[in-house]
Amino acid sequence: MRVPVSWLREYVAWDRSAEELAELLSMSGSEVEGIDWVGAPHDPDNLALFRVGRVLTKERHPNADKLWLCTVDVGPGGGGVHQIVCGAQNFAAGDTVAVSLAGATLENGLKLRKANLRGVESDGMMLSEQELGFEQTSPGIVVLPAGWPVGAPLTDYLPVSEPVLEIEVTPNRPDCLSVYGVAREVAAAAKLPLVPAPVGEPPATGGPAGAAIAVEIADPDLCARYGARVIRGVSVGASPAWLKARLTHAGMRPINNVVDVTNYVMLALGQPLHGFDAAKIRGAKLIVRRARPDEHIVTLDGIDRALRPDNLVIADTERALVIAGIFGAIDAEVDEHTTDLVLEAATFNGPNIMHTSKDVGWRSEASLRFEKGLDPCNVPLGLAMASRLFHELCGGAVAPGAVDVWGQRPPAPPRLRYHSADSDRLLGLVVAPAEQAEILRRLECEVESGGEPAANAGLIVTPPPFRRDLERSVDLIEEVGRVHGLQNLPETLPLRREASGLLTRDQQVRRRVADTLTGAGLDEVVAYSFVAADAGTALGLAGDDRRAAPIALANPMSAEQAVVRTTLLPGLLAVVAGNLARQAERVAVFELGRAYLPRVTGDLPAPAPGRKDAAQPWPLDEPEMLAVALCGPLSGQSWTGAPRPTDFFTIKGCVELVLAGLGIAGAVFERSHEPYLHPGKAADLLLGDDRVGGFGLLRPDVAARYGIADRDVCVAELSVAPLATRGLSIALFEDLLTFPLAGQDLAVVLDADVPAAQMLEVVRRAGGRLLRTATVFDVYEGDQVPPGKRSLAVRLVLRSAERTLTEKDIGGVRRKVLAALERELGAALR
Amino acid sequence: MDDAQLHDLQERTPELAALLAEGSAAAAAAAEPDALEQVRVRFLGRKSRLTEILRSISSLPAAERPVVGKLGNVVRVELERLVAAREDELRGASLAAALTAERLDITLPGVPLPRGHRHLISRTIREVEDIFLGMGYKVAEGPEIELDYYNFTALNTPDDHPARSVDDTFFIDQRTAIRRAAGDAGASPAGAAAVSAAGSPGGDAAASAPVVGDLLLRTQTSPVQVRTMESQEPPVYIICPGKVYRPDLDATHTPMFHQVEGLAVDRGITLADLKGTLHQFAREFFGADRAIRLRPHFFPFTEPSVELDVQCLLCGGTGCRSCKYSGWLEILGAGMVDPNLYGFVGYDSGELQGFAFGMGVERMAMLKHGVPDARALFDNDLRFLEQF
Repeated sequence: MRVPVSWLREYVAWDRSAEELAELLSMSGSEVEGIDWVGAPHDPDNLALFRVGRVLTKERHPNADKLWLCTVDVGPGGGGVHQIVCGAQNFAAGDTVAVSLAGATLENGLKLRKANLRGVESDGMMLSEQELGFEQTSPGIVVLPAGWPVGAPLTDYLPVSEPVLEIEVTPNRPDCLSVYGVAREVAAAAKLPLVPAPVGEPPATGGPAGAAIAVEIADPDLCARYGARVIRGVSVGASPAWLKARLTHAGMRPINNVVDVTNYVMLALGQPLHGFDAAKIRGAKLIVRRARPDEHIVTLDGIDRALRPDNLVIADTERALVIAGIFGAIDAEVDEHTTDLVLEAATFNGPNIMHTSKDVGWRSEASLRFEKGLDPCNVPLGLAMASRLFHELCGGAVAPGAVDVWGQRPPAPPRLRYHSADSDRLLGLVVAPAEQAEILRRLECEVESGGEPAANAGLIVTPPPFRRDLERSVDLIEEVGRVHGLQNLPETLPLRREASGLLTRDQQVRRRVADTLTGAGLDEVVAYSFVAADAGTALGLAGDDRRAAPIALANPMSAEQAVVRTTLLPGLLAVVAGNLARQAERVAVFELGRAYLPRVTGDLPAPAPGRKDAAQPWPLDEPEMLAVALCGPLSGQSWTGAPRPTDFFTIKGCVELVLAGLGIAGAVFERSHEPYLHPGKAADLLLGDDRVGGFGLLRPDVAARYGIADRDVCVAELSVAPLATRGLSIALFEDLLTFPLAGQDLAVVLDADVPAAQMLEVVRRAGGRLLRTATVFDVYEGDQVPPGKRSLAVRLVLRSAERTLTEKDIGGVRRKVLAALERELGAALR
Repeated sequence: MDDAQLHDLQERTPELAALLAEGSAAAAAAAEPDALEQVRVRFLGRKSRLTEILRSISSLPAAERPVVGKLGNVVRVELERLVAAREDELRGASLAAALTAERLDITLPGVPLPRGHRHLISRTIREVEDIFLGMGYKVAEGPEIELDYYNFTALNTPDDHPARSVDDTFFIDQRTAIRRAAGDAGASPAGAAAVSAAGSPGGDAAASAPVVGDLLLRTQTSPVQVRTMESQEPPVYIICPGKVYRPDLDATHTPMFHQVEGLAVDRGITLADLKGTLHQFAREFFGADRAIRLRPHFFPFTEPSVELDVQCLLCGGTGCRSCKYSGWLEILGAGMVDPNLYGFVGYDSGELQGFAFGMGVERMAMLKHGVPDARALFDNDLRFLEQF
């Protein structure tokens, strides 16, 4: 809502600055998002150069056919009579005009100087509406009312420079979608008197309105009130400058005086109006009804629109003339030949208008107000104010009386029992009861005693009809709080009984995983949860794999975001491909986030309000996943030497690092059957009975389908839940300090296809109690060993909790291990 | 050797004094270890004059013997000290020369130890979490695919509220949400209830149209508040971070974004408590020297409702484009929990008061780090990610 401050000042005597006004409104609940200064720069020296002038003489320019050479009196304050050259054709000697003198800066930034126009000096300028910023284009200059005194500052009469408040009106306050409504807020918050609504009643002439037009509300559920008045003999023409200025500054375009008046009243009071050309209403009757089956209407923009049965129209006895509250039809509009008007003001059902507005695809200033739900009390006010203006500005004769028909009346405002102590208890601030009552009165609530004794009975508060949002006593407390001022509230903190700020194990595990991987050089990414329906197809998942059938959105924004992801890999691979395309040499990324899987069986859990159940079921499965993708070495290129290229063992190292970071032991790795992984260079991680996920080298054909050609990409995708249940458990002390550890290396040659894990298993069994760890630290295949064989070097770390190990102990373990390797795997010491 | 000794030496054994002077000058003059070794041999060696003098003491008159013996030893000790000192000097100088010769170009970069970057969104969420963890709040989480009931109904959202429309909420095609086990015939639709609820009677045309029912992508993390209150008795002090979804895409809106909401429900919680909490949060997040203000606003699930503004981070409050010349940036919405909400979760609204607040993580991160376009947060361009 754009509110020109000079307009607001007509209704409430605000005498401080626009900035202070903005602050006052913002801090009392009508957020001023900004102040838009329109018109000429508002520096007082500049504004002093705009004056009311009178054209004394007007002669042809000696050297130009279309220019006039004028003398214009701008009064002693403006330096007396100026010679001004002007190109406009719409004025005569004796006219009162708007003049800007040399030195003035105009609305468009142009700085005016004395000029020589075709050999004649021109000292000043007679201004048009366009040059004043009152409308986008204007054919001639502004001719002002003759009564305005020559030499007076123009700013006394016209908003040459205007601060416009840009107010965000919240949806509960349709009453503030009007200048008067905002003025009411200012009055309440600043304790200033509010001028009565600027309605006025014009003199009435001719036959009564009721004889000229009848109104029937056929669908009373969609129209609470419909009022009409009749104005005869209007002449359609241009609006005066002040009206154009106000509309333009408020963000609407001046059209003609008739349309402008209806818009002006809507902006002033918040009541939309519609003018019909009386001559075009057939049967002298307006009918408010739902659209008929297959009914069409050609709206003002020339589009033939099919109406739906719940669209409300205003019709005459033959056809629909208006989509109620939204759009007029070509058939009944006011045009330049119109003389007699039927003026409508009505209150329509808000949600219905909103739906129709969506159906039609058109949202106007009027529909925007109707949508929010208006106060029917405004109907006669809007009609009266507009009638007065039609009389004053369009030469119309207003017919006596009005047609006023009610549909379904809204309920009367509630009578609310209000205790000032409740307010103190909720706000955390004691506001004196008398002050609370005074605030509610300033907001136009009726405040009565609630009975005796006053301390217990409190007050009975009846909100005004335009405040439908005030339904409960807590709504009144909010009013007291905001008008009293939140800046007056103390800053306190809640008691926080029984509160302890701790993360769950699951949350700690996710933090640890992210920190571990970033510590290892990986960048975290966050990808959209939605992907294209076929984003996972290239992974080659089997038909019975839950990941193969993603959950689809009913209303996706695009085909690229049609379903929610069942795996994080497509998103991560897109990140890899995108960065490679942007010339990244290495991409090492991970994402922690959810996948979304359909329910395999069962129905959706129904909400169970009020049930205290710690295990509230989720509608669908949303497992937390960790996905990693590596392409290129983990560390960057350096002059100190080439970094290790990434391969299966890099991604395995990442997986093992995550496990180590969480303190999880006992991982088992099995060959993976994930269809998108290289069958020979991929593994699944198992923890107990949980298959946590697969990792390894992405198949080159799969990589190519994700736009990654000729680059090795390693990926991993693990479920976080099995990590969370095992991770970050409490570590128990092991005495490695009292007695020293003993190391023992041995290298054995065995069949090349014996997995290292199998060999280590033999080593561990044979090593017995004294063997603490066994780790492969070297692998050799080549000339030094026979074909088909390989050498594995193992470091044994031995210890005892009771004593320092002797050479004999160590030799014993070594012998047992070697014997077992020889016996079980045919291994030979190298 | 002090002055008295030197004087004594010159008086009584001029030759020894001369030897000392000569030896000390030679040691000082030795420019390298070899030369110094020669000095040592010449003045202290077995064939040196000093050794000779000390050996021949027995041939001196008895009266001179103790004097020459004592002073000779003094000279020997002094010369040894001087040679050793010179030796240290020379060693030091040669080490210094050697080290100097090993100079590196210290402006070359160091060995690139890996350094990853957490995403700006998760960093910001953690920052917010940590502030509230410190104030005694727990972190609560809930489903992103939510039931209409939790996302709207239980949050006081009227049935005809625009937020419930397909323009403002992503709905799930319910046919895809439930799949029967592989044994069942064909790709089966979702629960029949959902289908009939949406009024789709079946047939070919209906089969291809999405079926809208109770499932949607949550538009806020508030459903977690409802679920938490459903599942536990008060007091409740939680924050709810997470992904939320709305169909919007421009420089400040992405269809997926993140929120952190908070909820405190207890006996006697006041709007002043909310003010204190939010101000403490804002001071910690944006810095203690930044002005903040609480401003009345409207939300359907809080009463009274407020917004928190922080002094513009760009202009410091003097007014600029990013704050629309107001000097203030709106950072979060909040309010006292509407008593209606307690009814949905079985809390006693007579007994309890509480507040709730919610902030957009992207906006907070963008404001704090000067990121101009929200879409950049999800492009995952390393040139962007690695700045933070």
